[in-house]
Amino acid sequence: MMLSYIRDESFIPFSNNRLLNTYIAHEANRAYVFTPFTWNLEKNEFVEIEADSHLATFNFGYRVRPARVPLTAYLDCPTTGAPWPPGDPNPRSVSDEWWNNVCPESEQLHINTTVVNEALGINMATDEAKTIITKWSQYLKNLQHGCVNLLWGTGRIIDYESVATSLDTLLMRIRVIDIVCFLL
Amino acid sequence: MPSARLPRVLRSKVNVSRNLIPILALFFLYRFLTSWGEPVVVPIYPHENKSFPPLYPALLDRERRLPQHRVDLPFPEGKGGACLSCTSMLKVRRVVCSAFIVRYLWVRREIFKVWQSAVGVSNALSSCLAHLTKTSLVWVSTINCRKRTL
Repeated sequence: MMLSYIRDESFIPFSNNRLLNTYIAHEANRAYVFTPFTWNLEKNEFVEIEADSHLATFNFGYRVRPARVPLTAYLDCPTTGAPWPPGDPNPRSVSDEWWNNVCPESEQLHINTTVVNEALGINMATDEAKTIITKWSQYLKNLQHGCVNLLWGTGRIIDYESVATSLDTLLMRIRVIDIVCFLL
Repeated sequence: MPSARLPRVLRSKVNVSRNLIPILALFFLYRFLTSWGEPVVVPIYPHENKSFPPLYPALLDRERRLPQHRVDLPFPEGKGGACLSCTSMLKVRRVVCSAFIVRYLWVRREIFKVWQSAVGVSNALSSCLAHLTKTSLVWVSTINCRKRTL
């Protein structure tokens, strides 16, 4: 397992469960909709840098930072629309703009994940990632609706913490220097 | 007795030092022809304002030009295709052996107390200490602290 320090990204929406959501969409024979990397949901293109941010001291001379950055700046993979391996009939990922064009608000089917979790008998705190993924992908596969949206404000259906043991999660949260000091 | 030089047929007829410029030109032509279609850098659009950080409009354009963004594709893709948009954002939190974490944090605090005092004495001494005890040395910059006082 790769040892690396993951910053607390609690204020960044849609950060670390994209790959797992893509996997669920793939298992459900659906196209994953990828959104830009978002720090701020307002209409403005740029946002002010906070005083306590790590960018406050040095940001290439800029006093602002972009509110949204396209996801292809970070990733080039099936999550951002690259083709699946040859022979895979599943649809490729589409962008947020395409989703808004093809599926307007009136045609979207909004799903409250907490309600569906109760209906499927999933306990997020105790269940394994395998059961969560199989149950959710089966549910989404059987839905006779083109435009399915997991509702804003409800819980994530999967997270990176669900696919790790407790020791892995602990290792993801600490740095190498911390382990060295602990062993000292 | 065989001579040290190669036979006339195998000898190179190209004098490199004399024909350096055409050789370099050929090399760059070869690089240009073989690199056709590889996006090396993301182009910056001329209408972008240089006094603001980049928004990567070229990448957005490339996203728009993806082959799956077409209306007339067969079923799983195209106009009536099946999509899944995940805008649910609340994090799944799990409690992991909290007693172990508390003990670990306590030990780390005790160790960092010692190291902070060591750094306060002198950088050279503390780096010596770190080398002898086979541990990493943490250099804490004071830029942020100065900024806060000002």
